[in-house]
Amino acid sequence: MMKKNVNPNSWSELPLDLLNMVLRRLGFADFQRAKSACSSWLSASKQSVPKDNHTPWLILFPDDNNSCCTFFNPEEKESVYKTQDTGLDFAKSVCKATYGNWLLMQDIYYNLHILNLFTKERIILPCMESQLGMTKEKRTKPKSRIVSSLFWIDEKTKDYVVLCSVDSLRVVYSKKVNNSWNQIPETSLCLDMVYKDHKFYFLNYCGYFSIFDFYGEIPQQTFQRELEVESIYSRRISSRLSIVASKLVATVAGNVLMVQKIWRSISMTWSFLVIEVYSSGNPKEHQLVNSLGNESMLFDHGITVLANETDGFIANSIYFSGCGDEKDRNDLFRFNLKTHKTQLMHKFDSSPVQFSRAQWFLPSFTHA
Amino acid sequence: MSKKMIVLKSSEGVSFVVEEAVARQSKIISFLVEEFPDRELPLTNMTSEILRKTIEYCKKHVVEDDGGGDSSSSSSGDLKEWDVKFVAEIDQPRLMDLLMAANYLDIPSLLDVTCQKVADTIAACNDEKEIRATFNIENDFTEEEVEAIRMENQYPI
Repeated sequence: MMKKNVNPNSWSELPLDLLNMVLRRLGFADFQRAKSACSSWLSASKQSVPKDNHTPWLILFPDDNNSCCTFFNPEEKESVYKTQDTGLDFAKSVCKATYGNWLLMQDIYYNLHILNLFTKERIILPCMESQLGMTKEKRTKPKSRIVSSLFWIDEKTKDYVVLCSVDSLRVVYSKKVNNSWNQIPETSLCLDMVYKDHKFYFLNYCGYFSIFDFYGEIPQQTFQRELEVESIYSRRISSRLSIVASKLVATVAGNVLMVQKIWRSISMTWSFLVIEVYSSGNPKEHQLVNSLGNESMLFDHGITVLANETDGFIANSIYFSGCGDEKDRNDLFRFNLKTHKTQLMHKFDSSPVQFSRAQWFLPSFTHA
Repeated sequence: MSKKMIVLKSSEGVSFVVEEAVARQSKIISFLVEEFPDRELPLTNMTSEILRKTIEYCKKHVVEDDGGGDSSSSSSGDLKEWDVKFVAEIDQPRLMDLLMAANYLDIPSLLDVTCQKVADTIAACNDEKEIRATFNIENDFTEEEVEAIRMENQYPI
């Protein structure tokens, strides 16, 4: 086994299968560094993938006819990654939502499909217009508009659920099993929605919150309430204070939070108001949350994750990106719920890449 | 009742007398003991130093089956702490030998802690130069290959 080579103590000599066991434990950035060490490590890296992390990446969509997307991993400031040819024309289609490595894409004809960025697998969704009794005549400017959307997909079975808020009047969903669009009752004026573990959480502009169970064939409403909050939607409250966004966040423990991102214009600081709107233990109460315990919140994704030092997450913190129109829209920040201090995590320097549209997503590498 | 002992012999011919329960954490030894009972087991590709380390690990991890209620000698938290200390004390060349020994003898938990230690060490390096220095690796890429890797930066490769 331990044959003595020219350089007996060199780790280049580590057998391939053992090297694979090691490489699989590395995060993406460390994996890239390790494979650049020598040729035997490079060849081992071709047989394994880095472990999944929970650090969001930025995906940049090209402005021109290029069909490759570019990624920016905040952990490695110096590199950007390119996908292979996705077969998509990004000048003519928009990414509406992401889930893991999957994108929900909408083309100029308002057709929807789901695409896996890395494997290029594509799932065509049923046509929404014909399903919902809309006419197809004015294709360039349809009567219905998808205001917001989200989806979930199982990497193995490819079961999926896509949910769209249409015209702010209703939320429709499509599942793999029924291949059609169906309406969910009482879902007008959608402000935010989250889908997690077969449960759909819905919040509207009037503060009406409800939960639908998607386990069965037809979604069942299992919970509803009116939130007693002063102001729910984005607006300027006073000359010093504005609500920038209100979002639902599903926690690891299965509770649901309503989180408001607030901008204080005098001090030029962010703050967050976190209210528990549903708790599996105490469903009727709603209360202010002062601590996320050992969880960290990914505000833009509407979820919390267990803070793990190796993944670089700090407990009791809210990770969020800058705001839409501002210069800082692609910068990543961390708000500490205990100290109320915001830290700039990663400043994105866009100079090497030309793009105007970008989105944070959570990559997954274990699909291979 | 005295415990059954077996003898393991290192590449230098040094004999180690070990309780059978301790040694049986290795799936290979477990198999060999059944096939060749009452025989010395020669482990010709393991040095005494690595064999001693491996036995030390197995002794700590053996689930003592004395018929008593509390069978495990340490709580899992203590054991984890012990593991961390155990791998921390091993220098880089020995770590590779131990990793290979864990693989050869088929001791899954030892393989796990040694692999993790290597992964943690890689993660602590800032760049590939530091990885090469830490792991005594020679950069065997040609200029063109280095450039190719740098330009590649594509996923999937």
